[in-house]
Amino acid sequence: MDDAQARKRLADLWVTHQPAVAAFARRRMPPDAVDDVVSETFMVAWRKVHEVPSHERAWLLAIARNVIATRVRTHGRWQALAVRIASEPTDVAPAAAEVALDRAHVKQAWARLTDPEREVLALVAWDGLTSEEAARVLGCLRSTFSVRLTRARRRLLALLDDEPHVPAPSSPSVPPRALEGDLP
Amino acid sequence: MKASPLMGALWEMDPDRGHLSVAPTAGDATLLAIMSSPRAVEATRPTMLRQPRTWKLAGAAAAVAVTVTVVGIVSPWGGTSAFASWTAAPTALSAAEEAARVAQCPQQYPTPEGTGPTLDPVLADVRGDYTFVIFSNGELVLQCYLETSTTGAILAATGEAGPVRQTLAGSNVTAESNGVTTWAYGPGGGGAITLAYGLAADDVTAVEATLADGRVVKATVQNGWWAMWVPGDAGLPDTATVTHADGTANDASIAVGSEP
Repeated sequence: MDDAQARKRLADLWVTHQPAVAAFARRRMPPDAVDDVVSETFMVAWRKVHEVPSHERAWLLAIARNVIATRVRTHGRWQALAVRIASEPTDVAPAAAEVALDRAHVKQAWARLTDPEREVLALVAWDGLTSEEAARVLGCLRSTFSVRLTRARRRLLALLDDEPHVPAPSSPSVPPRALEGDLP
Repeated sequence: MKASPLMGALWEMDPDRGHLSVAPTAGDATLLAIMSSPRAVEATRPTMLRQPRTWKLAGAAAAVAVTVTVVGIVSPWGGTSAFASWTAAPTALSAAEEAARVAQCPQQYPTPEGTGPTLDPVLADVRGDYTFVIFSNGELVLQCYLETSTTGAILAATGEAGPVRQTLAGSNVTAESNGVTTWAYGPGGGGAITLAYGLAADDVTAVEATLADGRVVKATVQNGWWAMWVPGDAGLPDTATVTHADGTANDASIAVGSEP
């Protein structure tokens, strides 16, 4: 790959995937660190531009995760990347099917998950990755990721069941089995 | 993806929901800055190994950023099957063999501007097919993981400013890192490893850690640095046995953040 080809390749990656990388960073880092994470991610991509795999987005997010983990590690946390949650409710009207779940209690249950549990759920629910992509981001087998995702989902449902004011998981309108099938 | 109440609730908690950004273009300044930096070549570079040299840390008055960071997939769950050739004690190689491995690593400290200094190799920890190299100039640190049984999968390093521990009280060690990362980038990727390294006082001759299963892992000690790693994510202990040139030994903390 000559220099012109490399520049074209990286520019294509940037235009196509920079928003996803930036969003990934914003979900996990304070605002003032996001630009650095994005820059470092594409810096690594530039150095490896001759070996970009077909799963470009997952590859870039895996790099971004590494960059973030490096920063997190500096502060003593290693085992999983903590993902943030929205601090304020949005003003978007929920779909009718979502009304059954009490957002506040989902938030409480979410807070009781472990970092690894939150991470696998966030990769799918927020970053919009397939299980295969998410597995690549975490550097594990797809089957392994699926197991972790299933466990995290079940634990979230169990925590929701524990919450006294959560009507959805055990209610007829939101059967648990339907919830179990909602994520890829 | 089928919508569900749970998915909807999680989606609504997305901290990036509703964020508005300007669409990226091929003329963005950040992109251009990145592309102005050197990129890795595709083939193994026939670079000459700079001679490792012992360097002394600067005095406390000059205490500024030591940077210790690595771009590696951090996974709490990685496997260990690919590390069959790993050994609990460092593998002895000839100087030429070791130099050949080290020479495959990038030695320039990576910066977004591509203007980082070239660092000297100060430690090469060889365990079977795996080589972990630390480069440093006394202020910056760069790591390289190399797997030589296949095509030489390299994890390059990048970094940010961090605290410096430049003065070692008495005859001890510091831990600049002790945690789980993953040797999983590229064709030689093998899963999670637990890595620890740090600075060692001049009279330190050996650093050994006993794992929960009783295995004793011996560190490589070179040029005022020590390093050890084990396959998997079981973790290294927070304490190691440090042996000194006079034959005495003591337990020392290798937990990150501990004082020497």
